[in-house]
Amino acid sequence: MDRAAGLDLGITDEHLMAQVKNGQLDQLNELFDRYSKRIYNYFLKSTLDRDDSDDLTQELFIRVMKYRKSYKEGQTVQYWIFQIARNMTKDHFRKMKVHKDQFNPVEVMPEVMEEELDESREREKQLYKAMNELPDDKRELLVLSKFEGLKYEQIAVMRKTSVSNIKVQVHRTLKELKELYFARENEWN
Amino acid sequence: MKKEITDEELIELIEGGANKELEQLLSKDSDLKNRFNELKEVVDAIESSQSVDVPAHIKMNFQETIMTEKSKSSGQFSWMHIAAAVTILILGFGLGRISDNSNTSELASLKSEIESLKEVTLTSALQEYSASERIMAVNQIEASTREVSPELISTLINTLNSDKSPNVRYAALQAVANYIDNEDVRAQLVKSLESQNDALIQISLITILVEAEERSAIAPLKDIIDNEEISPEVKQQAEIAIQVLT
Repeated sequence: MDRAAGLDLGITDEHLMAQVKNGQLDQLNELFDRYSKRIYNYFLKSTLDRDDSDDLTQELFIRVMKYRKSYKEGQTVQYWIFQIARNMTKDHFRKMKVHKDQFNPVEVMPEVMEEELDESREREKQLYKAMNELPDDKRELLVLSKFEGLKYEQIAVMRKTSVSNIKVQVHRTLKELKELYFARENEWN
Repeated sequence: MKKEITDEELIELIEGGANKELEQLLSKDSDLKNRFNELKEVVDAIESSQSVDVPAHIKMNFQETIMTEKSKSSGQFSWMHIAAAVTILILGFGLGRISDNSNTSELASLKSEIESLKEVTLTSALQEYSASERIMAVNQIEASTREVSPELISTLINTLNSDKSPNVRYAALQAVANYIDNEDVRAQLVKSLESQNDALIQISLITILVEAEERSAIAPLKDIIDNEEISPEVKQQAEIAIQVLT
């Protein structure tokens, strides 16, 4: 997990959120530091759009603040936050039409110095181009499981299905991604 | 009959599932090995992909939202009680006097006294109270529609430069930005840019100065770019700002 400097290692996410629920709103800054990068990259890789990810990230933390009273103490904060993020992503996909032909993978990658341009970056570009071809829900599933490292068990609860079903879906999506990835490579070569 | 190995089985192996039989097959079957390597390349590309940093303005906006929420949910603060009580007292006393002789010059004088008292109260709040109360004081100044005195602007700038809480400094900056048309304020903000060390405030300051087209900011912006201790996000903003201002 990517965490900002100044993290108080002595306090759990759940304790922090309980404090927020009880009115200590300053603790939202710490939660933001702990989760914003993961959430931002979850939105970025799911929507493949920077502007939308900016707005969604902003909106997510506003929702965490607004619906703080609905947080059940003891509930895993990571799960709760990603559940909110998932609902937002689903709404987003319903509302938006992605212009796939205009997609530029560099948009969703960190900026690097020219000397850092190498094979792995090219491979990453190829990966995002292939991901852009995946259906939205499959791409989002892959982001949760493979980019954000959520356990199949957690995703199964979020998607209200069985663990084995999620595992099958992830494996099928990876297979589909591989086909898109190498089909793209063959087009360029 | 030879058993067909599915991609799903290969993925399971990549994910760490032990399968001795499959591992043996991989060492013998080059087609299978190729399929395995292709899947492995995709999984490796995912695992080695880099995260993008969150743009600084998202945190700034969220901090502002927290402050607004806090001011909504916390109700009135002690210094506001004091200010309100004293103001009502003076107003009552003043109205009593005015009803006696309806002297308009006294009314003007009274208004001035009330405004001065409010300013003193706000200034005192900025110096003596907790961070959340100091933010409330700054917001109160910002919400004021009338012209504020040079002393109060000076207090805000002093808060921007020296308050120990970055949230208060940020709120002070937002309040001072309302007076950006004032040449002295712009000069003070340029000077402040040299001393700030919080990335959010630096970026916010840069944005305000660029919007004000303040060319005297170019020199400190160049210093920011040359300063190794300053974050890349701020340097990037400084570079963009210089391009806009030159």
